[in-house]
Amino acid sequence: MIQNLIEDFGTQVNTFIRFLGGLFFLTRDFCTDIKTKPFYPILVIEQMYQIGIRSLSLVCATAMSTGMVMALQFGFGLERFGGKYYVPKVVALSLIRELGPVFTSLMLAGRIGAGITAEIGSMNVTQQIDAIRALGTSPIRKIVIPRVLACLLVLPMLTVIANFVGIFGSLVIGVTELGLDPYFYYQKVVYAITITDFVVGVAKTLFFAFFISVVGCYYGLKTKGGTQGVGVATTKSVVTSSILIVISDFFLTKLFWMVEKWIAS
Amino acid sequence: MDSIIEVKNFAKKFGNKEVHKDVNFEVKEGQCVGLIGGSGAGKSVILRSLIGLERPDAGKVIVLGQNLNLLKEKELIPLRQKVAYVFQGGALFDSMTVADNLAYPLREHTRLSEKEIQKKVTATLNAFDLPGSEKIMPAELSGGMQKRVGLARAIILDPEIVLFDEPTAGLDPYNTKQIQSKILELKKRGVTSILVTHDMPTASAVCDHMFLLLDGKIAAEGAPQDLITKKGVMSQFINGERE
Repeated sequence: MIQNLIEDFGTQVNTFIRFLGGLFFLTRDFCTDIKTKPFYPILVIEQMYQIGIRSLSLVCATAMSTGMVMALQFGFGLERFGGKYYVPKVVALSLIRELGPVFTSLMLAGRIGAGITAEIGSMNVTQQIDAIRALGTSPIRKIVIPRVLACLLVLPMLTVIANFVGIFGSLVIGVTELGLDPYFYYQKVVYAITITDFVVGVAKTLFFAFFISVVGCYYGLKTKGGTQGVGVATTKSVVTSSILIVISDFFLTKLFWMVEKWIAS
Repeated sequence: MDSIIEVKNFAKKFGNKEVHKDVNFEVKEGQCVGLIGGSGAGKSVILRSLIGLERPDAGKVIVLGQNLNLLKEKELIPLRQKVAYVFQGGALFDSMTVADNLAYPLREHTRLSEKEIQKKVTATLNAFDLPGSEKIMPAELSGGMQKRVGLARAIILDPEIVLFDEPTAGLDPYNTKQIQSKILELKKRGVTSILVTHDMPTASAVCDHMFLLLDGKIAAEGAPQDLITKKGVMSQFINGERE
């Protein structure tokens, strides 16, 4: 019993170390190969379309409902203490600094991370990745770099859109359900948010984009065992990138607060 | 004739299973060689090692004078333009049309204009009895057609060596004959080939020399007719008397 537990723990630690090592080497290959030719801009644009345009409706729907729910919750909650008029400020700050970037990234981890792993994993089990290598080309350049770059470029843009849509959603609820004046709501939002809040929120998404795409590519390239293997890899990819987003969000928030304080002093 | 491929003391393990113990063989320039053996004997692993898709745990793999063990992934790229690999299932890029699959190596490794590439692609498809299939997606092709497109893509850069992984497995007699004739055509042009196969009629029709991989070693070698007629492990293997 105890021996089994120890063995299980050892296996888990081994898997985790291998995962970290794999991510490190993939990141290293990405950083090395991106500096040299050949570079495939068309593939980056294709991926930006796949990741960006095709995720837009999902991101907007999530942001809109998040904004609306938050306005409702804060509105009815704060109304009891006469704090209804703080709703625009609270909702806008929460959305811009935290919920916009995190929810958009989590949605993309589900949609894009899974898509990247499933696509690369299928290519792997049907020997297409081997074919890329056998034909004298690099899977890093052909597969990894376009996806990682596209994610890095698109996720911040989607987050900006999500922020605006979320605030619009909260404004709609603020006006229709809480009886706030739309111009008052708009003014409070503009007054509450600073450029720093906006930049901090968007800056986080660069890290999240990197986690989603690199983890997605890593599990895709490591896929083994046919279609079942693709399913397993896809699940691992989504779970791992979601966990990384949530955990890193705490450390990034802490880091950005420290940087802000340091700049202010 | 000089050896163009040398495999020396090749050993490879997968987990605890020692698949190759001490594999040694040489292939001379222009030869067409068959590598046969039971399922799981590690024939494909040796073939993959000849293009650097796998690395041996011990031993040497020398192709065109270069020791592949010493080359990094990036350094293998020039070699892979001279050594083509025909995958068992074709391994066509399913997001690209047949024409784009064939054009892939030309776009990557030549300076041909798009017009010249299209011309070469069309000519190659005609030569492989696949006229008018440029815009078809790989999923719409039959297994035999996929294998022919895979072969066409592999040899479009006129390689010096072609490695075939089960080129006729699962094919009907027509497609088998088509693949055989293409291998013989390559042989006439002086291209060195290695075939991993279970298809003895094809092996004896196209190969000059055969190796039998058994228990992680080369157990028998020689000209196909000699090996088939002589009593020994090869005839036992062919007649299904041993795995």
